[in-house]
Amino acid sequence: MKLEFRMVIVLTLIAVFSGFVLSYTYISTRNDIEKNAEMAKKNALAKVLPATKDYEEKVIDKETTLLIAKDEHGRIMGYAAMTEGAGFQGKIKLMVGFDNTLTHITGLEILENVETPGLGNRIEEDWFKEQYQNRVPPITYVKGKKPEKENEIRAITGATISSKSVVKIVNAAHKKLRTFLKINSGPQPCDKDSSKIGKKTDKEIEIIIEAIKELAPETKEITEIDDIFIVEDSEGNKIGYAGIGVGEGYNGEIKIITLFDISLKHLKGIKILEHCETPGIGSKIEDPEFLNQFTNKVLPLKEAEIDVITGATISSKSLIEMVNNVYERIKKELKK
Amino acid sequence: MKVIIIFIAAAITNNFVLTYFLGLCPFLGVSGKASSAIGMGFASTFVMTLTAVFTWLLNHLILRPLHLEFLETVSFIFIIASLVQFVEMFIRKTSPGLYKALGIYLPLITTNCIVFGLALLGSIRNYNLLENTFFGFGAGVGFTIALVLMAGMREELEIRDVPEPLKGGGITLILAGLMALAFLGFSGMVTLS
Amino acid sequence: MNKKHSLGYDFIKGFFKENPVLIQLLGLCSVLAVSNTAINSISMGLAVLFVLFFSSFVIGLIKNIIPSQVRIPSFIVVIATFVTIADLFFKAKFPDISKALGPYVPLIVVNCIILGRQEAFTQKNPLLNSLFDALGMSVGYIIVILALGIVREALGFGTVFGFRIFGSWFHPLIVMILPPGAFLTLGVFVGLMNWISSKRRT
Repeated sequence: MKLEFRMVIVLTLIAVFSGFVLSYTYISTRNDIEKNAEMAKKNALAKVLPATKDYEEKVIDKETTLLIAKDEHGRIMGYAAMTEGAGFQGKIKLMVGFDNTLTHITGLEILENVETPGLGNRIEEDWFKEQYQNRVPPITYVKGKKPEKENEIRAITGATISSKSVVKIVNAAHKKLRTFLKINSGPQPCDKDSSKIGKKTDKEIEIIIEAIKELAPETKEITEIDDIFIVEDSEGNKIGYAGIGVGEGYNGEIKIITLFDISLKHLKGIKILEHCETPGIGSKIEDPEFLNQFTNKVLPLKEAEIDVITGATISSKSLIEMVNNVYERIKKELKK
Repeated sequence: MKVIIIFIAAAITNNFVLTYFLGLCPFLGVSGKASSAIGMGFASTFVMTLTAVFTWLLNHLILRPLHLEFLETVSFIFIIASLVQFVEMFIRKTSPGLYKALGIYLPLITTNCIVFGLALLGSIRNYNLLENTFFGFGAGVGFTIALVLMAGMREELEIRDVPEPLKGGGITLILAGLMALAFLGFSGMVTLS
Repeated sequence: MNKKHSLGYDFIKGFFKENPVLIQLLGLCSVLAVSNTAINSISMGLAVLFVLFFSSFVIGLIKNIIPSQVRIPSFIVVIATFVTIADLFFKAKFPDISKALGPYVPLIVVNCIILGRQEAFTQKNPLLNSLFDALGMSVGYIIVILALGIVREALGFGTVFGFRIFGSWFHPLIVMILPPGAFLTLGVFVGLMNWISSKRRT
């Protein structure tokens, strides 16, 4: 056989054989390798957002994956970002958890790093990671002294660059998550600061009066003592007691006004004052049909009496709880 | 510019020989004389820059789109071996003088972990084509610097009193250790981003 | 053509007389890079053993059909195949070690020891001798990288295989974990080996 032929044939045969062997090995190990990555992800998520029972994944960009952490009822408890960025020696891959309003960091785990052992590598140490808990991004780092502000962490002595890289990656992830979650239709975290109820403003009183009047049109006079509203008609007769109920919805707080008859035996009705439930699902608690169920029910309310909204069981049940809480409160107050 | 930083990092602050331990075989074998050190350095730099380009192309045009990443090791080394072969033939034909000076080093470059190492690291760091090229070039320059520095020191050592057991490999390694210590001082000079 | 030795000789020579790292000065990249802890060292050592043994095996089988001009590429492809197998194995079964060893597992391909043995020994010797040579050289390699790993981990972290061996009075020498420490320690080892060899010769 001519030498050139033989050279090519031998090389090709070896290459082909190598290809086969490697493909086989790759296919046999692929599952384990993927499982390892899954395990690492789950473990990290459990560390940054403990009490996560389930999660949903959304890829944001080629470096960042969003993990929406849910509890056993399916409620969003927080958001985690699995992301990577440049460190001192190479790539740093980490998972950072935020609360469901994206204001505080709940935890940090380093997934991969090739930083200098004994120096940059120390970003994997517990004390460094734990610093991030409850901090408010955007984070800055300080050197050589204790962090004072709620957005400061302390860099590792002798490994400023690695520490700085982690800070950068965390801040970038925070920004990406905020942008992503805002522009995505879907449950929005509620903003406690914009609630109008509970601050005893004029506007609030207006809202409450209007709501009570809708529940009992014969209302003429409303007096408030110790957070209980005494409702009277035009002749000065008491027609009922009202109170504000606050409870947990799917996305945030729900605030209602409840009206009871003066014997506190029946619930005259409820009105939803504020909520930030998902449009089309949780927001159905505002449907007149649903709310009518509450009219003239015996107190305390039993769960079986109310048909919950499909897909909004939590919010529905929460209302029942709220009514009963206000009932108990008013009953106790009146006994005094 | 990012590529400048990558270049400086590869050449100095993250010198391939003194921080990544790549390219040691020729480092110990060839650095005895400054002239051979320079020759080896230049030849290696040339091969490394080309390697950076070709392995990037292979990786991003074929391996990744076809999900054949597990063939990275085998295919990279194949490219390097072929590249070295071509470079050797090319130099032999175009410049016999150059071939005479460098020729013997060229086959050695194939098995030089520095070439393969640079291809691997560039892949891990996901550089784009331009960045990868500067990475390879910087690595080569850094390798040459380390080689030439070491050669200079060893030529000095020839006329000094080195304890018998340490002659050759031993003292070279200790010297490399001291050089690595010195180069540690560069760390932090540039940020790899 | 090499003089044919006994299997025993071909095995033992890798330990000291022809120790691949300390005498032949081969395979240094991996020895220095991965020896920062004892567990990393032994993992790398076993990986090299696996690759060297099976590469010598395969190449020993087909050595007669490979034309001389393409022997280097042929050897390299065979070696690279086994290295990839070892790499995938680590990633699947020992992900933490895989991360610790990082890109140095694929770099076994260009570990001069493995290619060097094929070139210098396997292609010229009977299969069985080559296997024993591979084993012996691997043991020699493991001895050195493990020794280096133990010293560096002990002085750099105060532990060996994760177990504390020094009391709290001990201040770790970080430099031992960094490149300079590796170079210096290996340089001392090489010097020691040379000194022992010269003593034995006299």
